[in-house]
Amino acid sequence: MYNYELNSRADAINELLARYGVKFGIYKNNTFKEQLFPFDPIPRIITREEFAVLEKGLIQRVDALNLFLKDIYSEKKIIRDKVVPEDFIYASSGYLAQCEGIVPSLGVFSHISGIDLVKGKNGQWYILEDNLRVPSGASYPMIARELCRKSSPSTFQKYHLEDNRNYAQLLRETMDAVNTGGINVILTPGRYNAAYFEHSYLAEQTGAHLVNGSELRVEDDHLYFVDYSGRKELVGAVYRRISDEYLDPMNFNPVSVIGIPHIFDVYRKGNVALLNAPGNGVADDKGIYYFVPKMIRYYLDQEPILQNAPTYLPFYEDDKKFVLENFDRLVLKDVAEAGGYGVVFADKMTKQEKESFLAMMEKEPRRFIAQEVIDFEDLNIMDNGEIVPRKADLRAFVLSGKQTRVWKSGLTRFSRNPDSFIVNSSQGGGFKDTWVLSQ
Amino acid sequence: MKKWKLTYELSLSFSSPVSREHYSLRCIPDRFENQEVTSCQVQILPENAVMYGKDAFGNTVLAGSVERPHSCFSVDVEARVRTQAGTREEKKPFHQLGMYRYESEMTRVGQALEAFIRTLPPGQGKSPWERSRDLMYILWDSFRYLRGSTGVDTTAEQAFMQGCGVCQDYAHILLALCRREGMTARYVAGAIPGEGQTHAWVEVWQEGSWKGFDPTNRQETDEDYICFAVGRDAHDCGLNRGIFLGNALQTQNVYVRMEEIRGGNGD
Repeated sequence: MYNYELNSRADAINELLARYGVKFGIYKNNTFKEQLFPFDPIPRIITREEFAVLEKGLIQRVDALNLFLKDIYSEKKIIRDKVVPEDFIYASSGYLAQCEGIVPSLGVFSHISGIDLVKGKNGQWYILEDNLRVPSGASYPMIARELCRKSSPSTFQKYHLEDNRNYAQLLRETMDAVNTGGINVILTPGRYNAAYFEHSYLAEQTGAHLVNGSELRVEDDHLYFVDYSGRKELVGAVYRRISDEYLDPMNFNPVSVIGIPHIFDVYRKGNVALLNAPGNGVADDKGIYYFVPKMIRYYLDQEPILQNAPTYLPFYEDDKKFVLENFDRLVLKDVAEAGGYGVVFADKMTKQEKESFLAMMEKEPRRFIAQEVIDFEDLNIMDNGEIVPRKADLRAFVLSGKQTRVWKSGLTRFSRNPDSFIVNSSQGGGFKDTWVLSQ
Repeated sequence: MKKWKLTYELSLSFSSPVSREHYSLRCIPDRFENQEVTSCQVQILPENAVMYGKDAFGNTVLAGSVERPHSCFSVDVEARVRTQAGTREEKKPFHQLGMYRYESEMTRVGQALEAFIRTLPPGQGKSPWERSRDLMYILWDSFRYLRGSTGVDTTAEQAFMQGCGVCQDYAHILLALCRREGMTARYVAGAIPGEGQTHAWVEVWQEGSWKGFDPTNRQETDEDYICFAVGRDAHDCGLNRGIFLGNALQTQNVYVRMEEIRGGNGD
């Protein structure tokens, strides 16, 4: 189901995206480089029935992850009941002891979750990773859809698909649901951030103030937005797009200049909501990934609807044995790395690399996971006027406030390199719109 | 039981005025088991609205900001405290105390400590408290006290490598050794009788209670110790943490005095 009219307008749409400043920035070797995030006009299409299964599975997964976070920072029943070994909590860099004892507004920790999936050639979807800290990317398909609608209205009359322009509404409802009284703001580290376009776009679309750290101030146990004229307004929810360690120099990295002193103290007292909650890194660690299906059974007493890629933890003797016996067909991941870094395919390793890796795994078994390589589905893309197949994944956005909802769209990213399985945008891929059919 | 008068004075002076100074203080004696605070007065200058709160480790934190330009900042605490010897009961069960069993930033074991650990006699069959006492003695023999030889950000590994340090370093190294053997151990910042600086030591958990070990003085703690704050390491127990806006050099003075009140007077 290709749409030739949209295809022929791809260049015009990419030009518009560039003009709107839809860029993706990356830091590499200490320099900041902003690049366009190329849009491919051929959408990924998901049928209504297929999406219904994804939706159910994603809600289940994110609900379990939220229950896990709440448990880990308070009662820790899942440790007591030996479902998750405590090594995987306390040795994780995402665990923040400062968050102990905090139960955020409505008990929700991950308000905006970006869950990455791939579809295997067998038609089965697999969860690749959970992103519960500051997942970005929703704005790309939002604006792409908007531009496509303008550029080819007839396409959208012909196909019946879910309108994805409601993301802003879902996000606003999520902020409102956890808001402790006051306005909503989106906190950005500034225009040199990789996702600055997204911060400004989402602020515009949700009606939240786009602010930087110097415009927020803590006084009398509350957080205020102070504008250029000195007028103060109470803030009830902060959709913060800066990472935990930079959030508050009084509680985390003391040299942070983009954070707000004492914001964490106010949050601890329940006087402001932070989206997402600090400390979520403990639940989206590559090591913890292994335990998510167990969490679903533990907290919800349900069987997982969506599958993990088959994963082995060298931490367990049985798994280590399996990894050693099947080493050459596995992909190895360093749990501390993100963004497609620290991922190696065993069959691409030299003999020497393999030996040093195995020595490292022996010494620090908790640091690595091994996974089966999933032969995932190719999607067609336009490459210089030619249709060619490329590897692609899907980032689904799941929003949790009063209830958990899945955005009926998502960010489909593809690899530009025909031999690469890594589709991360910080490694130079492109994106597609994701169509969910409404009938 | 003993009664104490405790004084804590912090003064910061800046070479030129600074504005927008933010502070978080944990320098007030807190209520702990075996430690009762009968009165406590705090004065912070320049005057500002102080926010009271608790942190993740249960410590009382005083926080605030001074917006207008100033060249001095001071905190004066005067408290009356009653102490009792003995261990402290921990209400949280074992499985909720994991954060005290793992390496923290300041207690990470590197090559120097790793080599030292290999020389330790085996501790099989000993209870955590017996073993901590042994480790405290061994550490005391292998490490030298030298004022000014380390800073607030010196890690256990760095201090051990140079062979000398202050109470904070003794505590960090003992924590590293205990945690390496799977013990549940925490850092304590506080005061001991006399005049001068604050002090630091270690508490080790065993069957629902904490027992204090002071590796700097090679002894178990008793009623002569007053706690300010507990945490995984010194970074969690920052008695005074602050940042300011301005281009100035900062001079810091801390003075602590803990004197016993004998008889019925002064309570």
